[in-house]
Amino acid sequence: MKSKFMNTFEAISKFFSKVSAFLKSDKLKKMFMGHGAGRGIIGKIIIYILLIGISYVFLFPIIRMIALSFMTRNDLLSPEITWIPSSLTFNNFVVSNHVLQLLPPSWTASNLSFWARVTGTFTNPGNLFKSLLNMTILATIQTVIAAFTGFAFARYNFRFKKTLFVLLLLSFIIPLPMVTIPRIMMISNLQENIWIPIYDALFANNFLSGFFSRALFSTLVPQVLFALFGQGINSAILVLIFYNFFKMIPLALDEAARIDGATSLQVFWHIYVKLVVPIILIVFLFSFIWNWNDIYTATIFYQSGNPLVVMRLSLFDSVFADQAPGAPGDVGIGLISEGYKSAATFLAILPLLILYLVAQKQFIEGIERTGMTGE
Amino acid sequence: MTKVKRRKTKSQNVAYIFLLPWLIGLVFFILYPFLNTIWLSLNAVSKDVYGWTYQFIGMENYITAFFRNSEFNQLVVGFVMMELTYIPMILIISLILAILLNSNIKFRSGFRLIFFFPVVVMSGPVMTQLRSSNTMQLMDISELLIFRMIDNISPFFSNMLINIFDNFTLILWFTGIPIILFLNGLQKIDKSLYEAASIDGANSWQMLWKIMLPNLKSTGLVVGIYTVVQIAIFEVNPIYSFVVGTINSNYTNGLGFAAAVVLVYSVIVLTFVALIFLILRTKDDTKYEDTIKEKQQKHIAKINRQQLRKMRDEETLKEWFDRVFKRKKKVDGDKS
Repeated sequence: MKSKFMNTFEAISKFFSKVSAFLKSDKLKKMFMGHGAGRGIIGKIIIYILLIGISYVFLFPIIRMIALSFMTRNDLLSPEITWIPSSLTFNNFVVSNHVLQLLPPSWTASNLSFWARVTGTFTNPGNLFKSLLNMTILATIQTVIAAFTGFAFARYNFRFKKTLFVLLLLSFIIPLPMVTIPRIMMISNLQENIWIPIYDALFANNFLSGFFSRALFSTLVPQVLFALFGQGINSAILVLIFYNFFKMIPLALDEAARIDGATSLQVFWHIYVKLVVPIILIVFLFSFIWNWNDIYTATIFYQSGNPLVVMRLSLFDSVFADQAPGAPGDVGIGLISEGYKSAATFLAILPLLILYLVAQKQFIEGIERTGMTGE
Repeated sequence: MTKVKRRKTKSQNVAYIFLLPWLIGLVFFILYPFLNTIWLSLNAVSKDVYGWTYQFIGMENYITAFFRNSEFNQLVVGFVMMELTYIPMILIISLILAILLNSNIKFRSGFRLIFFFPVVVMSGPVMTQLRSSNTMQLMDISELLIFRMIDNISPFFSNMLINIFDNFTLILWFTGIPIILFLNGLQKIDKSLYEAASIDGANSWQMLWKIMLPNLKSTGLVVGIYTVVQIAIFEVNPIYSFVVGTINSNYTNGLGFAAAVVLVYSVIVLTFVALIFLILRTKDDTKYEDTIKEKQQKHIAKINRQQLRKMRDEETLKEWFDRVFKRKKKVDGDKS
């Protein structure tokens, strides 16, 4: 006869054996560990922690920059405040907008009628609108030329096709400084021998002199030339994007149009271009941001008076020092603070951030389908 | 008589019209400058009222760069160090992130959005400003005990470490495009490969090494070359500002020296590209063993060729004339 004690002992040992059986079984292991890495709960938690941590490191400079750009001088110096400023102030933005000359001056000036502000926008549109306009010109030209080149590579079997394709890839690999010096000399020759005589003969002494500049190196002309001949910034990648998309379009469409008597240009326009309108947008966006961030070409070929916002940002410190009020001997640069710098940086990348948030799908798709991987 | 219209085969040379702008650009803005830079680096170039004048001075510009200029050597070393530390880091981090993103998780597009955004905003001045406000540093490791130990053993290695930790965010920001490319490469791998491997009892660690990495090699090649080129032209790297400064300040006389500097810089970049190509190219290792029959045929063909050559060496002018003439006649006869 079993005692009560034995009964309870058996019940407990049964329970334990059940629990240990459950613990040993694959069910629990599967629940936590999964079959492969990252399938079970533990794996997933690790993946999330890693990804969120790295995302934080990715975004840290930007978040820090935004926080700093709202801080006053006192906030910056105070050891208690690291992230959230004590009061909301836009003074930093006003100052850095003034130094960078982003918005049209007529917008911020006081005592102007509404009409004067509107006309002032056109007479002096400020660096932001100027660089938007310039980059749109460059990006449009680059997109059109890339489409032509991509079309030729995708649809025709002409002689030396393979050689030219290899040269296309090489033109991406060759470091840009390697080809810069002869380019400078070419543009300089162009300016001395062709442009200045024309300018002096036609524009110098009449009302047109305001529209044209005598020196090519302080205009967009060199960059437009490079874009026009398919050698702008990262042009090879843009050509590759078009090449891969054009190759996806079935050849039968092309042939059908040709049998109906379409010329090559008509085939290009009515079949290829109209089918890849989203891709044109992708290429345009890439060309736009690459040109916007292309400080190298801007520094060398468009040095004086370049309205490009990024270029202005690189001069921010010195311009600030010039404009800051100070007694003689007191260096203006002493007044500069991280608040002003951060605000200026924030303003400089704000257009790109907006563009990215609106069109992020296109950007990622564009890189995914460049076909740079493998094919 | 009715006119028979024959369909002509379309001439493919229309392509050259579409290619024309790019071809002109290739010749005038890539090929010619490429060769011209090499030539310029051996010359003293100066500009006066009449135009550019060249004077051949041999290797003088290079001697100036390496032995008379006090900072160039250091910058070259710094640049090589930077490429050496950054490229493996960028490749490995982007590969890890791509594999993490490739697993079955939620908010994947959200993470992708975050990882890709530096591509859009990254430019020299922005990075310079962000660095100046000290936001790029992961943590200050120079006070850690383990770091001091490493520093005692090898200052070179510790320099590399401190470089990595100081610019960790910068390195991360370079991974935007590589992550997308790796992710794309991962998604192209056939799912049945994984299934077959798991049936054979492979765990995910083995799958990573045996399936994922070999299949990602070609993507790795593209990513590697892209990264080298990106870093080379980026404003944060030490030699960049020297190159730009040399070009801009020596504008009227001294472009020859600038060309020499640029050439050294380009050779470094191209060496790195070649290295990556050698490491990451996909080798075609399959060798085709000839069967005995093929070997025999090859041998017979070889003997035939030798005989023919011998015959032709010995033949007289008349025989040669007959042979060529007869063959021509035969062809004519076929045509009619």
